[in-house]
Amino acid sequence: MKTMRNRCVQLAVLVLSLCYGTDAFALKVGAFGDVGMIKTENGSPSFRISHIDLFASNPIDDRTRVLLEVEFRSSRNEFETQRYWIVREVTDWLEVGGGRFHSPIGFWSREYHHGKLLLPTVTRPFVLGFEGSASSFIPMHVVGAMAKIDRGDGFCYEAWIANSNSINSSPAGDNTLTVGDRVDQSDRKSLFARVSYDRPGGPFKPGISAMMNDVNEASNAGLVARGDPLVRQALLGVDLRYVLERLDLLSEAYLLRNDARPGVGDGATHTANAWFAQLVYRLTARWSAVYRYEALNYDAQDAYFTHARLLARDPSVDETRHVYALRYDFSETNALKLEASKRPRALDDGGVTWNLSWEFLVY
Amino acid sequence: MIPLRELATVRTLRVAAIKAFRAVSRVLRAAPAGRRRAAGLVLSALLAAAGTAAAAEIVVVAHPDLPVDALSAGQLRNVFVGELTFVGRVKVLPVGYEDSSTMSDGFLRAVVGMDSRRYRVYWIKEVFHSGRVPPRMVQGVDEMLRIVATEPGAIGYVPAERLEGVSTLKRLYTVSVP
Repeated sequence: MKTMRNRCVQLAVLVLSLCYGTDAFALKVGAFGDVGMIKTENGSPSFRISHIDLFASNPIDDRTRVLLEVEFRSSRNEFETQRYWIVREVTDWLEVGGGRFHSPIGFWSREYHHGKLLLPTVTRPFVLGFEGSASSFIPMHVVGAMAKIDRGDGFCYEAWIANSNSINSSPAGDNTLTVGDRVDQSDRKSLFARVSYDRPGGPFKPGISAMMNDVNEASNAGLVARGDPLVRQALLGVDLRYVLERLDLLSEAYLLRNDARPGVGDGATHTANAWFAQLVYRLTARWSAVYRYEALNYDAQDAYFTHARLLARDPSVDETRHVYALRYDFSETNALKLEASKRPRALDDGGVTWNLSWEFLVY
Repeated sequence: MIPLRELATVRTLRVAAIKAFRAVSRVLRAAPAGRRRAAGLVLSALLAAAGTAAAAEIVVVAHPDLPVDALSAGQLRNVFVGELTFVGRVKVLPVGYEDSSTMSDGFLRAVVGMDSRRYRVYWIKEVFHSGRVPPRMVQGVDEMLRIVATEPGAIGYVPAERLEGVSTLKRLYTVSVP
C-alpha cells in the first residue's frame, strides 16, 4: 500500500514537474490509456486496466526536439522507459539522433508504439512482440544512434547503430529477448538500415529494412561466456502499405537468418520467416473493420527459437493468428474496439481471445 | 474557399439581419424623432459590425526565399499537416498560432478541415507516433509576421488588413472565412 502510494506520488511529481518545471515553455505532456475486458479461451471474463503510457515531446531549440515516453505498469507498480531520444536537424535534409527508439524495422514498429488508441486493433501482431514477452524474437527497441536523410522527394534513408540484444540462457533464465538499455556486453553493435517511400497523397508506401544483430549471452552461467554471441542474426524485411479513402492495406514480411554459435544447438545456420497482412476498411467516418493474419515459420533445428534455454518455442505448433476487430471512434481522443483473435490451441495463449477496449488520449 | 454549409449560414444571417432591420424600422417610424435617431445610430453600428464579421480574408504568406509564388489548397493542407516538407529545395516551416482564435480556427477549418482542437490533437498524435516536427507556434500576428519574414521556408497566415504596407512577404493563397 505504501509502495503503491509512493509510486503514485512519484508519478504525480514527474508529471507536474514536467508541466511546470520550465519557465520558457510549458512541456507538452500527454498520456494514453485504456480500460476494458478480456476473455481468453479458458479464462473468466475479466475487467482490466492497462498501462498508462505517459509521453512528453517538445522542441528544445529551433532544430532539436526530444521525446520521452514511459509506461507505468499498474500490475507491477513500476515504470519502464519506452522511448527516450533527442534528434537534431543538422541540415534541412539530415537529422541525427541518439537514445532509445523503436527499431527501424518495418512500418508497424515505427508507426505504432504503446499508445493503443493509435493502433487499428487492440493487440499488435505477435510477430512484433515487445522484448520481455513470450512472443518476442525481433528487437522492437534499440538504444543507439541514428542518421536520417529526407530530401522531400518521398524517399527516406535511415542508418542506425545500437547496442546488441541478449538472452539469459542460464537454467534460471526467462527465455526472453532483452534490450541493451545501459550496457552492451559485446563489442559488436547491431546495425540497421531502412529505405522507405511516402509521397504526400500517394497511395503506395513501400519500405525495405535490414538488420545485423548479435544476440548475446547475458549470464555467467549460460550456454556460452557472458557477452559472447549466442546467435548472429541477419534480417531482411519488406513492408508495403496501400492507402485509399476507405481502405488501408498493410503487409510486412521478414526473412531472418540465425547463425547459431558453437555450443548453441547444432551450431548451424537456419532461416525463418515471419509476416502479417492487415486490411482496415472504413465503414463510415467512425466505424472501421479490421482483419489481420499473422504467421511465423522456423526450422525445428533452429536453436534460437527452439532451444530450451533460449526462446524455447514448440516447433510442432503452427504459429499463426487471425485477428478480427471492429472499431468505433467517439472522437479523435477516444475509441472503442472489439477484437477477437484466434491462435492454435496448443499455444499458451491459444484458442479465441476476446478483447473489448476503450482507449483514450489525455493531453 | 468557404465550405457550402458555412456560405449558407452567412447568407441566412444576412437575410435575417435585413428582415430584423425592416421590422425595427417600422416600429421606429412611429416613435418620437429623437428616439428614432438614437436607435438608427445603434442599428447602423450593429449592421456594420455584422457586415465585417460576416467574412474576413486571411492571406497565406511565406518567406521571400520560397521558390514558388502560389500554392494550391491541397499543397497548403499538406504543408500544415506535415506531409509536404519541401517546396523545391527549400524546407518549409509551417507557422501557426499558439492560442485558438476565430481567425486561426477559420483558417484551419478552411484549409486543413479541422478546428483548432482537432488540429492540436492531430499534431500530438503525429509527434507521438512519427516524431515529426510540429508547426512553429507563435503568439499573435506581429510575431507571425516577424517569423515569416526572417525564417527561410516559413509559411504562415495573417488577416489581410495586417499586410498593408508589407511588401517583403510572398502571398501564396487567400482564404475567406466567416
